[in-house]
Amino acid sequence: MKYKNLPSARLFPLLFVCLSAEAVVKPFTLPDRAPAQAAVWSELLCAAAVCTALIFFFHRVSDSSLRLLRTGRLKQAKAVLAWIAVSASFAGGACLVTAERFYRYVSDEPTLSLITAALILLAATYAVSRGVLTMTRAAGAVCVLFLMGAVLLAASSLSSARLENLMFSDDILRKTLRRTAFGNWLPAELLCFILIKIPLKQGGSKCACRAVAASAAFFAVSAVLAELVLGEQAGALMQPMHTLARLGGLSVFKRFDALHVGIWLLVLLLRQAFLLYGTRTAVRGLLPDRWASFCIPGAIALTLAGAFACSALPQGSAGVLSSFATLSAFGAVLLFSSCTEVGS
Amino acid sequence: MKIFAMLLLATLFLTGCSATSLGDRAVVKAVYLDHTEEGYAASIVVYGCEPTTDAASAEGKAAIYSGVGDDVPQALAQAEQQQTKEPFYAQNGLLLLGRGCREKDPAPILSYFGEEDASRKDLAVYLTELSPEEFQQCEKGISDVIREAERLAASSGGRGAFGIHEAKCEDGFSGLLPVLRFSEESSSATVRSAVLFERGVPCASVEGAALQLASLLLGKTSELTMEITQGEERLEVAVKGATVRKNMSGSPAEGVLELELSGTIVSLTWGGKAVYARESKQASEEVNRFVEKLFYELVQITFERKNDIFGLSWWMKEQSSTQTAQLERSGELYDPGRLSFSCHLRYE
Repeated sequence: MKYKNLPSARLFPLLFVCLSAEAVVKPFTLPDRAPAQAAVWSELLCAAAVCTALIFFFHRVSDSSLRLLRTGRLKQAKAVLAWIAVSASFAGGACLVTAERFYRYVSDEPTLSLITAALILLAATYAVSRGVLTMTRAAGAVCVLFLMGAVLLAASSLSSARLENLMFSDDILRKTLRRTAFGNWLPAELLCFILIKIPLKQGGSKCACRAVAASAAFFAVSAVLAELVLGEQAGALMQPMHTLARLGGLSVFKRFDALHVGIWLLVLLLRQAFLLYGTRTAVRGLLPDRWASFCIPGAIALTLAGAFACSALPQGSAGVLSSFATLSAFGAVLLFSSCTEVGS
Repeated sequence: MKIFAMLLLATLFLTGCSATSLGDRAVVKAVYLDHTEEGYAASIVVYGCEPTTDAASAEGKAAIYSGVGDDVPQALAQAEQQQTKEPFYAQNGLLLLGRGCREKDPAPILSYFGEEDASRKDLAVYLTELSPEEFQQCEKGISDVIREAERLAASSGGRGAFGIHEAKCEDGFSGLLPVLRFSEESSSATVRSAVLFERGVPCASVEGAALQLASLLLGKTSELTMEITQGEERLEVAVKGATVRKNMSGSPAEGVLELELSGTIVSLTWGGKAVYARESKQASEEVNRFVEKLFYELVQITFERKNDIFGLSWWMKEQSSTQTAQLERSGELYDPGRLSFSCHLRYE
């Protein structure tokens, strides 16, 4: 279904769910061992910095230059789109690796990795083929489930929470900066966001900033909840939220983890679909019209290449690299916008 | 698009039919581990079930399989190999530690089960007074023991037992492990005492009213049932809705952590007879004095020895972590003079 301009408010659930996915399913890297105090400060700092940068970006970049960028008619546009495709596909590959590992982590008898990865990509490809409008509708339902699941997780864990489990640290500044530096402080989903046909100056920037702020708040609350229940163990676990889900119970009901895992896999699928959408849109601009049908296979190939690259990198470096790649892509878009406006 | 939709629909047929059926699995309901001279002894309690049963209702004849090894995984593997089915640990809610763990640090065992994805995170841990050989003799009544232990663990909204996620094992295990009493002759399981560990060394046994107060301070219960012996007479008290309010007055360097226990006495008997209005005030004051004395006895064996299992120093750190760190370095933090406890239980 073609659309002229998507209302930006409809994108909020999609962006929020994609940005918050890593709060519940962390990438399988070495735990950062940061206390919740550091996590809260780190999220506040990142959200403030990213929102400021986004406001500056949306102020400087015009809708017309983004339209020109999406078509890919200019050589400069192709160069920028190529870099966006690399950033989005790397993040998509990292998401694929995380989703497959998480499915293996929660399964008693796991399916073959190739089959799991193929199914995830298949579902994401189908979502992309249906269009971003359909994705936003699905995201609305997934967002409601996600938030209800979060409330259930909090309610079922609070009986085991103790204030005395919260940790205090003397060198909180160092731990905050370390967590910020090695985390995914600039998600590639924001790149995919600017590729969608939305009127950025009429609410697009507000939508993005609200999603970033809401996601940061979600990260902070989940870090505090994990530490209230698990104490210093929370920072040493690879999947603290999954541990909370297995621990919690309400009255006679135990083992809500099956419910939470189902919702979190949906969230990962949606995130994969959104990143694949960004990659596909960038690749579409690079290819001539007669090769338009190859844009989805091209995006899938790039995502798989991103997944292999991510697996080969040292642990903990994928998030940082993805953030730097996204930052440079945003810089390239700004430069392109300045050049096209000067030229016109 | 139809091709994609068809492929996605085809995934509905991925139902895991080739997976091991429940009838071919050994449902492990409890694990027993103990230190031995050579290493570790492990026993698993396995329930048999029909092929069509779901795991949660696996009951019937329980069997105990045992093994030994140099380390915990080896001992468990040996025990699993004594039977032919694939072990299924998702229903294992109990970790029983043997008599040897009352003399040697249980940290290696707790650390093994505390690892991520190693076990159910609500695994309840109990000490027992049984050696590996004595535990193996308990096969006949073990189902009743497990049922009772699970009931105890589920009490107080699931906070009743010591959970594996609470085990702090950095410098050896420090904490309070409840002792589950049962034997080959008696399959009724009770918890009447707990062993206090201080950095891997068992240093005290806590029982009776002291154990109840310790559970309250650890947030595991809001009810107290105590027997206070006064000369030849006995005061029996049941308290509900007990809470401990904590307040740090002043900075950690100069202030005092005030703890106030409040609650309602729902049942009070003195010398076997119910207490009525005129004597109730005197009896309540007696109870309050007793609980205050009990608190300071607990502080003597925990906080004063820098084994702060109740997290009392957290309230000082909350005021000022820098000052608290300085006091800890100078050795002045764990001074019982920094604590003030008052008990205000009321009989209604």
